[in-house]
Amino acid sequence: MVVNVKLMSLFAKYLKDYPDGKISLGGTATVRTLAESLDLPIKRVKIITVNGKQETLDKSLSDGDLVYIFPPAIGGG
Amino acid sequence: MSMEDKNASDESFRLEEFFVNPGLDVISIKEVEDISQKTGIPLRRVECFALGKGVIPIRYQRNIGTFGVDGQIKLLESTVIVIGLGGLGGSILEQIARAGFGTIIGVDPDVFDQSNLNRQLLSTEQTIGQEKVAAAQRRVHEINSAVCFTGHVCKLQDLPDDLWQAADMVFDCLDNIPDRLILADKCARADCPLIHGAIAGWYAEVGVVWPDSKMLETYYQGQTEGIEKELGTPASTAMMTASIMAAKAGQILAGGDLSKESKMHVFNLLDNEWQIITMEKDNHE
Repeated sequence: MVVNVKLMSLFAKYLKDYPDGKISLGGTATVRTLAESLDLPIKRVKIITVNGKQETLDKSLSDGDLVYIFPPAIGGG
Repeated sequence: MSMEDKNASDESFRLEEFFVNPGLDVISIKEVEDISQKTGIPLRRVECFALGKGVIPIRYQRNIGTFGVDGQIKLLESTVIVIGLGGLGGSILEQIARAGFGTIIGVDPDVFDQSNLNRQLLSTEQTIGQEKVAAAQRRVHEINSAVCFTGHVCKLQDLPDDLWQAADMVFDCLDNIPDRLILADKCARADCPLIHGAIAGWYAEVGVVWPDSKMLETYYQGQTEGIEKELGTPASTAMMTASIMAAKAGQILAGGDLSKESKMHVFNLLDNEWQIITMEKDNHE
């Protein structure tokens, strides 16, 4: 399957080898599988959406899913 | 008739004579002040009465097309709490005082330091070392003397309980997750909507948090650290985030947004990207 991936802000560097954001994953895959394949720091991967809905690392992925992974921002300015 | 209704009725009776001229469609700051002085009725309530008669205070003339006359009255009658008067809170204060949010409670335990100058609207070289609350009080009075501002130099945990009950809206301009979660809990208990904002570099988020949503708890997923220490907090992101927060509050309080949907807006000014995450109440429970 192929999923579309967007990594926001500090996480964007983990997608530098995939300029179109399309990631091929074999067999059954979850967000965790995806994050590991991109070498993302798993402990910091908490805020995830799949097709616009907030999900966790254990969410199963399907072909064509749109996955966003957001780093936490907590500054009050 | 309750005492409150009787007072409102007395007030209306005393104000009526100033609005008998049928040609009157706008009213200046000076005219509002004169009426307030003659009647002893606060400026804000004179403005509300004028609006009710279709007489627009000139200071709000450019608001009316956006909020409507009824919306402007609702803003003037609203009570909001701004928790944190730094980069987000200072810019929000500037906007909501101009918009005419009638009663504003500002809360911050800190004084300004030099590292605030790059983004915090209330900080100047002259206010370094001064309490943020004092600068906020001065600024609100300079912008809109009809607004009632009360400052509290303390942490949110030390605010009196009755203040939460009085609030129609609270702004979360804090800088750490544990305090943000305490604030969300206080708002939920007071059945009060919360407008949350946080920034890091060009990246930021604005949450519209309705009382029963547990949205921040769900969103942060147990995290306690953010990325702003690495990316900094530039003025452009702080002020844009504050603008979105003030806009969302104005839309809700003026009655233009009745959806009551808890949403997180996440945007990145570097990539021109804006995502909206709709939070479901029972997500991940």
